[in-house]
Amino acid sequence: MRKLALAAALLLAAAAMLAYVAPRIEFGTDIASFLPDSGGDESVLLSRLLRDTELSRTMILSVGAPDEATAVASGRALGEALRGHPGLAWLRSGPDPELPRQVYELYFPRRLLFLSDAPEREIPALVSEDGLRERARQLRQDLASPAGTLLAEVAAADPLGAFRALLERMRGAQSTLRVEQGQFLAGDGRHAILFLATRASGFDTAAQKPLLRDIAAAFAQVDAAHGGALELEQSGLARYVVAGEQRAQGDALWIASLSFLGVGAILLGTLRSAGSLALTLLPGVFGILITTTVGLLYYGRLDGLTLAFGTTLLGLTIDYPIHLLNHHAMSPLHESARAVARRIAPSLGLAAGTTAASYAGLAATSLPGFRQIAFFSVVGVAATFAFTLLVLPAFLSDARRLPEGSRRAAAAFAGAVLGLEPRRRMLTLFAIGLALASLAALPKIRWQDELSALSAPDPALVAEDQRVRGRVSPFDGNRFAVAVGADADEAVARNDLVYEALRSSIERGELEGVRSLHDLIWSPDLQDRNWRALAATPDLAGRVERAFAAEGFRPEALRPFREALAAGPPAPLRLGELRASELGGLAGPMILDLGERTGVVTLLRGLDDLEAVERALAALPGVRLFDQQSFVTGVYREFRDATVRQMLLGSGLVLGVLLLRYRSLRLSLAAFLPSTLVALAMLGSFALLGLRPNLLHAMSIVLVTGQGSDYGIFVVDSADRARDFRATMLSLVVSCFTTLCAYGTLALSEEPALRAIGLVTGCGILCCLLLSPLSFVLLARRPPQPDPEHDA
Amino acid sequence: MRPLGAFARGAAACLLLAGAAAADPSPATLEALMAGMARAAGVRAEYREVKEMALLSAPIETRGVLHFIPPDRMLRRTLEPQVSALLVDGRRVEYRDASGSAPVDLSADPSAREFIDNFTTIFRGDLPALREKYEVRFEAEPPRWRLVLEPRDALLRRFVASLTLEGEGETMREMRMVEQDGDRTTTHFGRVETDHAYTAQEIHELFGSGEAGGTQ
Repeated sequence: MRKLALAAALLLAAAAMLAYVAPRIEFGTDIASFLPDSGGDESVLLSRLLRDTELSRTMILSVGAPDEATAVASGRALGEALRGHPGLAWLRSGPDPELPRQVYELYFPRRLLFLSDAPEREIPALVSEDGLRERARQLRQDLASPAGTLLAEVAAADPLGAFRALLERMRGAQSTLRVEQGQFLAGDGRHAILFLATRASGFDTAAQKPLLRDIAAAFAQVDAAHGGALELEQSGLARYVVAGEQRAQGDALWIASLSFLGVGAILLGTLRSAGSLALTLLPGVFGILITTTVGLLYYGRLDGLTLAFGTTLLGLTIDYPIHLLNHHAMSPLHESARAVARRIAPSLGLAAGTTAASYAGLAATSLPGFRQIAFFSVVGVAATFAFTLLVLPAFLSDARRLPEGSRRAAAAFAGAVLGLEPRRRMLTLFAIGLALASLAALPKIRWQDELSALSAPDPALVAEDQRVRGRVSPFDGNRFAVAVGADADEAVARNDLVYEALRSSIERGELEGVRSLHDLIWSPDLQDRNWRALAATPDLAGRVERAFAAEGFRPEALRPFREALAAGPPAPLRLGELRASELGGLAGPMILDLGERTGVVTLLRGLDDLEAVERALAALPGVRLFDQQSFVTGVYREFRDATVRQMLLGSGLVLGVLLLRYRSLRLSLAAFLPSTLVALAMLGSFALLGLRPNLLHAMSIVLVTGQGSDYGIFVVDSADRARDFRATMLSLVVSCFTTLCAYGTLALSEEPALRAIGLVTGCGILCCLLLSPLSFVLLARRPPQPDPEHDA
Repeated sequence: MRPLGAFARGAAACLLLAGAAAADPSPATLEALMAGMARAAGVRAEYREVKEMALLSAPIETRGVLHFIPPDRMLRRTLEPQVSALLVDGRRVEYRDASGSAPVDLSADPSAREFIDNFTTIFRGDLPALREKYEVRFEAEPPRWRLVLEPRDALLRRFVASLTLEGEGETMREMRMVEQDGDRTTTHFGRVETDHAYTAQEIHELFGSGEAGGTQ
């Protein structure tokens, strides 16, 4: 009755947690969780740059057609089909026909503030007698040109040509694509081009997947309407992220099936009972549910990677119920499950404590995702441990007995270990030799931090991406100059300096060109300096009228210019006003909102000399050249460094916990050294074989050593009693092989990331099992004695 | 800054030159004039343009050559006082000046596009569409005739008050554009070849990539 009530309570609790968790759980990964959120402005800035700018959310669609007319029609049709999609922040398929009016209204009243970006030097020369005469001659020539009609409209108010120069600069900030009937076309005239930005980050696969599906569906309709003659090609970060996830999921599905079958078969083979199998899995299931619920309550959101890694870790805690079930089944008939639980509680508690300790170090990193993993691991291990000891015994019948085959296997495993006792010296020497060889090899280790090593993108996707980008823009999608200021004014001022420095780089041939916010806006200070330089010229209006009259102009026709000067300086154009205007869309992709600070991005084209351009920017405050590839590599290097530091810190904590528990260096080392030796040996093997381990290899080694230290503890704690020792050895073998099935099978994956986890986990856990006798050997004790009471 | 007025002057001149060449030697009706346009062959004409602007104390005079190849190619090449070229090739519109800088692609410019649409409408001899875009007035006192166009389109009307084209028999003599601010441009035509057969080599030199609308 009590058992039924407990089962009902558990069911209710599980249902309640599931009801809370299910609608809130997301399997998407937010890159921000794995980017530093502290520890330096630059890191945070670059994190934002990668995640938050429109660059990461922008996609380009290219619709290939057999001829220009079809390209135009299909591009417009696709644009219409997608316009208004809730996942899109904006979609542009052609230039805004209102652009000239918008430019005129925003800039013409301020034209004299945008006369020169070196006003102190250039304006005095411009308004000198010679300068004005030259300007008048030029204007007269221009008026004679085909552009003369429109020039005449503004020349009276702008004889110095400030507005015209401004328009020339802005031309660089606009698209270089062809336009037919309002539709962007690539230069070949056979590819319609559409630009769109998603509301969600390009890394948000949950949002990007349905959008990509809708784009494909909309295109299919347009294509069908054109007889299937069209070809859709796309460029954008989201496609890589979604494709990577789908590839991983595709692999994971069959591997998970294989794992599940393998784990089930091993447990059934050992326990010979479906009920026992269910009981073995129950603590892990509840551990995941409890931890996810607590995690969501605490963080509000759990990252997909946190869930994946945390769940993997909790999968390893299957040791606990296996241990309990085996010890219980091999215990004397009169010993209750609760009594067995109490008896092995110190061992399990120590194992749980060391596992939690080995992950607690992750909480000290600056990466929010790692801190979540630490939280998930510590809470999850504690929950699984508590469930195993407090709840599971209630469901274990006192009359349970281990199948005979399993008993014999337990005896055989234990016998094999005991058989090594006479070879203690040789084993010790072997362990010392292995440790020394591994340590000697460690300096040769070469880490692989490139993202491609973790997840190589599909070459076909890369080629398609490059084709599309090649049709659209000559600018480098991976390298930018970034200027950051305490506020928008400072950011724009620093961007003015960036522009000046890069213009020098262009003159020196280090760079072919830039697309800069400087084409759209200058700092208020620079605008003010323009006005002051003009105002410093005595009787400027009169000088202009006299000089122009000498070149055939009617001075009275220049009255609008005189009136503009008399009206005084207009308010400078500020970034906020530009962004809020109808021209804000031109500036948006080049601006980063960094909380209270603002960043300005400059796109680069034809970067021939990276170092020279870096040098040119180095002296500018708040400015740096951003190389996406090296940034991502740097981020992953930091992950990996954090993991390796965690390995060392975690090992120290584990040893500390063991010392506290055993109060004996020998016992502590006996439990600690085998798994540490495995970690050393694996890293040494990488070095000796010339293989380059990456972040996931490192994380997997942490995982393996966490479980390996449990093996050591179990061996040490059961070394005194023969029955316990046999139960322990059986548990270790079962646990090892379930781990091999659960995670080692990932080595079969085609996904490099999963393969790395599988290889290290598989090999590592097997090595932990094989080296677990070392714990016994290091104890230097006599073989365990039969316990008259327990072995009765 | 868009050379919209120049489009109007150059293209309309070409069309009317072509129309005059291929149509009735003394078209008495607008229909006859328009019908002739569709049958136009290549045109080459020298021009002298006089701009009278409120901004200037004296008119500016320019000289050059117009080329027109049916159905949609036009090159207005200015030779004096400064060399420049305005090219229309299908939907491509490009301007190149004497500075040697890269040609300015105006294809994406809405005002340029608007004019090209008008241009093709006229060329097709689509009188209903022409009447939709312009107030059209045609006067003929054979052998002399006059076509007056006043744009209905707001964008074009913002700059251009009227275009007046005058001819005698099969030859157009003059085109006059009056702008809204009172500025006036008068183009006089001479040495008109109304049935110039452009060779492939000539077409390539005039409209081919790179040298399109070359200023040399």
